[in-house]
Amino acid sequence: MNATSTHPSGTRTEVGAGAESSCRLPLLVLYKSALIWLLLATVFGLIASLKFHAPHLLAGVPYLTYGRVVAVQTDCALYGFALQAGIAFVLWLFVRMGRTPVASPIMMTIAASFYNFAVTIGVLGVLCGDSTGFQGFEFPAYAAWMLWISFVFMGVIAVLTYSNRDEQATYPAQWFGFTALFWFAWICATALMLLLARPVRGVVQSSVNWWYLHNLHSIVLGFIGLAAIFYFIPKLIGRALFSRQLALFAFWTLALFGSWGQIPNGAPLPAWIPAMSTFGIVMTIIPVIAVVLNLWHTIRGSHERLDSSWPLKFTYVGLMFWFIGSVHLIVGAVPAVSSMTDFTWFTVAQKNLWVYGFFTLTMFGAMYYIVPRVFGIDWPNPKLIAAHFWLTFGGVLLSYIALLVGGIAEGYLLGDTQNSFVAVLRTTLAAVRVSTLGDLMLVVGQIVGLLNLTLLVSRVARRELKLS
Amino acid sequence: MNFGPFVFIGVFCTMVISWWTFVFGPQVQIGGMQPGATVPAGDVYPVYRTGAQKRGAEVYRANNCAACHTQQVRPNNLGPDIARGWGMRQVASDTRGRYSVGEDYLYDYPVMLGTQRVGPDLANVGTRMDEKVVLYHLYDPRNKDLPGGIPASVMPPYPFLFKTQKIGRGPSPDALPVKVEAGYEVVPTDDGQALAAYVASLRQTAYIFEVPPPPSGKPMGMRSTNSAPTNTPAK
Repeated sequence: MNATSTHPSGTRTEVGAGAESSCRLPLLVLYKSALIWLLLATVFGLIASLKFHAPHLLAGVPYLTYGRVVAVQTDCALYGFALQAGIAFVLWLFVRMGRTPVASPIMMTIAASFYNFAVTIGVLGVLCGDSTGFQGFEFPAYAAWMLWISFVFMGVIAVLTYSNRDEQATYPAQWFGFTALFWFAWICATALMLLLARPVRGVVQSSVNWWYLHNLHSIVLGFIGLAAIFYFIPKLIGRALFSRQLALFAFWTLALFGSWGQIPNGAPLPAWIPAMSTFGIVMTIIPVIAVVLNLWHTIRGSHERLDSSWPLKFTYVGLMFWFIGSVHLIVGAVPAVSSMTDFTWFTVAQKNLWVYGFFTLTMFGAMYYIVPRVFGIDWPNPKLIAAHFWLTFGGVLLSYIALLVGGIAEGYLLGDTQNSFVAVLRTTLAAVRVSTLGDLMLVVGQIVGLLNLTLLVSRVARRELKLS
Repeated sequence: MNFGPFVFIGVFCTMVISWWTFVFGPQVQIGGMQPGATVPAGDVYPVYRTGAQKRGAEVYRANNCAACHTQQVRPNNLGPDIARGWGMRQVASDTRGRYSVGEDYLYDYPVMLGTQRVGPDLANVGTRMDEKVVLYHLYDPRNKDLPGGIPASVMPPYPFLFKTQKIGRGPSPDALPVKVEAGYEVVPTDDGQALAAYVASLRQTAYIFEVPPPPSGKPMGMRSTNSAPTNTPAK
């Protein structure tokens, strides 16, 4: 049994935890670059937000038009941060739950480096005006193919690790993680083939684009986040998951209905397509209830333990944001609501909450738990973890509430044609300006997070030097 | 028990259902769509964009104008788009109607429908603005001295789509009516000119089978698509 110590931050550290130490190099590359990309994403988000205060800001720089900055923000967050942090967590999960080392740490590290190279090329391409024009899939073909190939490499190594497992029984967290990897490889291949390599005709492009983006959010990010929630909440609270059956029920119903594309109800497509999409989204109410019930029963009676560690706090708040984001999506898909809220800040609020709230917080929860275990060293400064948590949580919440209220007001006011479009927009600018404050908090939060990880890594480096 | 293979097959099946519905299904139904005919004139619809318009669409894509501007007019029961004057087709016999239809985007790549409206919908902007006004708007959207200027707008200016040049023998016909240093004038770059040509070509006014003309036969007083000189079919 490894020596254990409990850090004041509440993160339990097991020094030299066997198989997990094989994750060191890949996790170092993945987490370090994920955090840098997230910081960049929030900085681009802040620039975009500031342009509403001063439309002239950076207007003369073609690389930084509002459109390009917004696209790059999305891409840095989705591909730079989310997929990398996600794959880091899933890899560790397979190692930890399967009690087996990473299939090939060196290959994993090389693939991760290539992946980062692809994201860099993609971001530069979009800034230079080489965007594909497809929302959330802006990386030009040369970067997108590279990204896909390196992702598949990482995915294959993760799956090999999974199949090498010593512990044969599998748990819901592994199912969610495994599915997310497989799913991204498929949807990205579909988008590459049908949007870039051999583009489909006319509005079918939009259908494919929306389907891809919705699956990336709901299934890929959603499942990785849920894997973390299903793993960490029972583990850190010290109780078994209330019902494995209920978790599996949620898994299958989410995979089935959650993957039905988020097609706007008024889209110029045959009516059955938006109708099926709305039906699928509304049906996700079933798995949402199943997940919440399951975790509610797991946590019930141990609420005081939620305060016991930072990873648990991050994960728990991530779960709350997942619930709010899911309900928001369901409500927004109902035609009576969407006729008012489509194309307003309402939808932006949901996407931001999903990526920066739910996903980011659950992944940070995972990171704050995993990194000290894998490197056998405690976080240098628990106060930085607290600052990271409160800044990210506060920033996301502030920005979400502002855009939610702004979006509903915008939709409501636009419904009355007596109000001119510009007048309505000016009214909602107040909300956008409040959300800028949230964006600023997010930027500061990510600087703190990155600083904390850098301090830890430098300590590890010093320790290694001493040992050698 | 090792459930791995079962999970994999199950996940694969759910994935296929979703893919079948939102990728394969639409492709089978409308992926092979052919140009239609306008009603009642019988002209081909849609028509190819001209070279300048196509180049303009590339500028539109490169700068991601779709981040703020949609190009889709929703039916009456799904949003106030028609009431706001963004839709130009009136279908009296059918209260729902379908105001943007697949045919409108048949030759576009990429199709940039957009999902947020920080600015107004542009599906029919060509019926509201001509190329000159689009250029003024790109140069300085808030300048009320220029036609189409909206002082309250939050649209940024796009100075890199214009250049200031010395006036040659006479002022350029493309020069913008703005004051700069004496002896100089502001003209759009090729990209600026192309973008304006593209934006001014955006109009979904033709009546086709899916969106037939109102029974009275009198359109909404808008120009018909095919009457626009920039929109004639490529021969």
